[in-house]
Amino acid sequence: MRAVVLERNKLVSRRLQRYFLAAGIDPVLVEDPKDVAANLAGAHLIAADTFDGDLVAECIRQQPALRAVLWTAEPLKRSLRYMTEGSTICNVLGRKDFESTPRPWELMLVLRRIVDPGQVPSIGSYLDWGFQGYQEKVATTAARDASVANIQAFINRLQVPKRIAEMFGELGHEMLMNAMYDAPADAQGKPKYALDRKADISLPDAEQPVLRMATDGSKLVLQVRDPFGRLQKKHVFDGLARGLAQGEMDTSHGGAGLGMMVCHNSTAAMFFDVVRGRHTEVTGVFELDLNLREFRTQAKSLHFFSA
Amino acid sequence: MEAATQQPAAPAGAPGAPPQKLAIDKFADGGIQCLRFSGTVDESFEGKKLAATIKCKTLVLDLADVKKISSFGIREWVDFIKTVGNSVEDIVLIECAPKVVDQLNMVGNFAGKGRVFSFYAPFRCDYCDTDARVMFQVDRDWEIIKSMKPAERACEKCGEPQYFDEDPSTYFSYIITQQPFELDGDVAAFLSSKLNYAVSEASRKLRIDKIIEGRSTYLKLAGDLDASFPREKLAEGLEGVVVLDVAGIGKIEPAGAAEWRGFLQMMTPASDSIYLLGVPPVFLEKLTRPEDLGPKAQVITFAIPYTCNTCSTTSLQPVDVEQHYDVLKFATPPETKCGDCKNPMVCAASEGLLSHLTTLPKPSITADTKKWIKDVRERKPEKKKVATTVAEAAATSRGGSFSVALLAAIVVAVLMVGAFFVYRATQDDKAKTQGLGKLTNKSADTRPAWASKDTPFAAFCNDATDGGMSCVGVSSVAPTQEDALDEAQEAAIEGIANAVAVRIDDPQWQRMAAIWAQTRQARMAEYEQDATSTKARRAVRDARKQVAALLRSGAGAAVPQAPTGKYWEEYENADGKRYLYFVEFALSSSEVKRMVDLYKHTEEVLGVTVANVFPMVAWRYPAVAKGAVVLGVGQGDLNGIGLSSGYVVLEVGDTTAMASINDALQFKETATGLFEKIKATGGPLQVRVLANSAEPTTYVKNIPAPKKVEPEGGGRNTGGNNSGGNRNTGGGNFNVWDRYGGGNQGGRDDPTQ
Repeated sequence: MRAVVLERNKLVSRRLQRYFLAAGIDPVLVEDPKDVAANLAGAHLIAADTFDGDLVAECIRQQPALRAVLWTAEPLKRSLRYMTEGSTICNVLGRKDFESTPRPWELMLVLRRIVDPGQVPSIGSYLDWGFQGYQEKVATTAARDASVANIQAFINRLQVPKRIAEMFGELGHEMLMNAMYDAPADAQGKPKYALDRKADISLPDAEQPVLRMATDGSKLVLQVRDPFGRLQKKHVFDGLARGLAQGEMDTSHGGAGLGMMVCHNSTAAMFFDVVRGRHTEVTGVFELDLNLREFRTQAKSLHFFSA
Repeated sequence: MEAATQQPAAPAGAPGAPPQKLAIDKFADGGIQCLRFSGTVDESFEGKKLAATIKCKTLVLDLADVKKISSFGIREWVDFIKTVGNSVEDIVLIECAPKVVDQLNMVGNFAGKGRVFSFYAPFRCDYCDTDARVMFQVDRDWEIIKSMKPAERACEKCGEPQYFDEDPSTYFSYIITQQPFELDGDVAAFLSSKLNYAVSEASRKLRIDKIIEGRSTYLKLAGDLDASFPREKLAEGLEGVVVLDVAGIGKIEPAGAAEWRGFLQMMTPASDSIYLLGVPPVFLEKLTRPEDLGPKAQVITFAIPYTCNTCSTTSLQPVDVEQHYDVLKFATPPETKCGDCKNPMVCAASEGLLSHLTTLPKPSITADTKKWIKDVRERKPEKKKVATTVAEAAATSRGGSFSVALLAAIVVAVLMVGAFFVYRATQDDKAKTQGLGKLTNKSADTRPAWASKDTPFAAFCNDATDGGMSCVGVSSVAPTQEDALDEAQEAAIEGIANAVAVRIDDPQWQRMAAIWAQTRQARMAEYEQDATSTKARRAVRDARKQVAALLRSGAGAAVPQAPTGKYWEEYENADGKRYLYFVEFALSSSEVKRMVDLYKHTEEVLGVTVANVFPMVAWRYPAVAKGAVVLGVGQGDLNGIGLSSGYVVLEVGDTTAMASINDALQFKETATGLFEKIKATGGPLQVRVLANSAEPTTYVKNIPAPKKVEPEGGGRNTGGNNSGGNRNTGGGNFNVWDRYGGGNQGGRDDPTQ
């Protein structure tokens, strides 16, 4: 696989080259945007900072099969504009600043998945070796609340600030609500429980989501998988774009994106994996080595993979 | 999942308790309702339903204990705030938790038409791994909010600096879009007195509305009752029927209670009848005993708390004394029903309060007076012109209605004289030397004229015509003459200290003086409650001993070494011989002036105003022997460090040593010198203070080092407190470790944060 990597900082570019090569991708390093067009022929992937998003979008218009990856040191709002417009831009990687690469573990994970779309990573792929975690099926509304409490207890055991546990409790609640109330649909594709989210429900075994929570001491990973695979890219990107607009709450276009906002605000990176009709897996990653102030100001990542 | 299969089944952590569901407590008083939210706001919150139950003019939402808000909770909340906005005039959000502030920043209409009065900001101490919340009020802290630079503060646990643990530009983004405001007086009184919330000083100032018609006067009071209560001014000219609407009275300080009693005594002779309306529970308990009311005052209505278990609402319900007199005289609260659900409510008043109801006289009030009261209470108060001068304020007060908050100059004067007389008056009211037994001996044939009052364990001062004064101390009924002499001397010297305090006419200084008033009042009350209690007597003796020692060491020769007069009496009763001692100290005007000048003198230290520690501070901090007491904090280098009025500075220093502080001047010289020294290199300036606790607390000001130019190519090395050590990539100014691997101290060394 061949990739055009547009990165103006030579040092960053060299490091990126290593990661691309390690993932089995042949990178063409380009420092000047005007050199991109000349190298695009035969490329499967273009990678660049969101700063060059217009150029990336233009390349996709010229080669609709071209896949794109963006990285950014800015808030996600700007990247979302390209993600909602360009159907092949599904990955944005946050980075510290213009002189840094994206996080290596995340970059490698994304590149390997682009090379081999059939390879679905396990939760261990997000963590260092030796991690610890648990998984549980959630069947009822009461079990959802217990599950949220378990998340908080698990995180509190790490002796991290209480606010992190509360934040992840909130994230777990949000992810489980979507998996339990929004995801289940009947044979005609009509939502079964979405109309009344106040109702207590009890899901049959085949409809129950699985929650996984794990940590390696420097990252927290929360993952919820439902067995339906109905989530669409536009739900994620459009919803988040609406939520980030910070306007008055408008539900006239199918939700205000508040759920996505909760996910976005609670994580450093969100991964959405959808195998249509089979499962939707949502994974949130939080970095424990940052204090909350740094966490708030760092650029966030967003990934959507579908098959 | 790898790890899960290695360690299957149960979570690694202990199962957590189920998340706290949302609880909403309601408190109501007249047109003000307060809803206290605690727990998780999620889809189960019925926003519109709750909004339909709100019927009031001002709705206060206490959001301090909101733990989580889900996306559907936000929807319900927005429904609630929109709906309730149509039925109430004003919505005030108080003590918003950081979670709520996040939503305010994120969701455009989260507050609806509400205004945020106070909110919490998260702080973190990495040294002891502690999170803290600091409350900001828009009226008090607007400059800090506007600057979006909350200063580091000392951790209450370890004393090391705590930093603001959020991105300020995001966290304050909503708040700075609204204008600062002060709470309405009634709302502030309700919140501070009935629910014990923190509101600003200005909001608690007593406000008085006055309507005069013929020989009837209606006075409406709202705010705290303290020493500044202008009893003479208010009582002047009151005659005929006087109606006192005290529903808005908040906290009642001992000095305020004394002023109120004096006020009633002053107006009683000229009044035909005095009616008290809307008496709140605290007022009822403290100021409506028969001896408080006197021959003419009657309680017409009062309010006591009732709880509706159906609506989970606790509210003050009015009780008409005349109507319910037959049940009240048996200490039984009248039955009442909830205004919303119509179910019976349960009285939540204390047993003590209920038993007090039996002492209330049956009111006698004419139908005409009742009708007049109803009319005047329904009138809207006129907007007052703001008095900007003492003359204007005086004119306004003559005109009938005024706001005490505006009469600063007059209040200060009243406070000075008033407080002095309060001190004397409270001593005058004490039980006399009855029941001591038979007088068996005395030091002179006749009791000296200066020993005009014989209330045990008291002191009183008399002004001399030349500007001097004499202070007399009376001992408790002591078992030995020596004991009695010591007690009388210390009481007299404490009397001197008090007399000096009331002569210091600096408002900042007078505010500081509040730090000992409450402690002293409490100790004296304990003694008065049980004069035979050794513990209570010792507490007063110890405090006075320390006050006397401090005054002698601080004021030196201004305090006479020996008393100018002594006199004792010996009594004999079943317990044996007992002694009552009287001691007089006479001071010249120059001695008094010297002490006043010594203690009122202030110094400005890096933006902090301090004075020499005043002897009466020993009531609050018994171990204090020297130091400088903080009067106020203004703009300067010590602003934001955590100092506040009433704190006593004991030591100041850097990381190497701490220097003891003897007085205000020394604090100034030491702190200023140290500050300049540390500024050259950067580092912490430490100030150790007594701050509302017997144990000293250390506040730290981190003074940044002057900026240096980094050598080319050298990335900043943050130290290796992680397994990876110092991973400097070199060759350029980027260092991933700086940002991502800085351990738990990331960012704290950056002076720009």
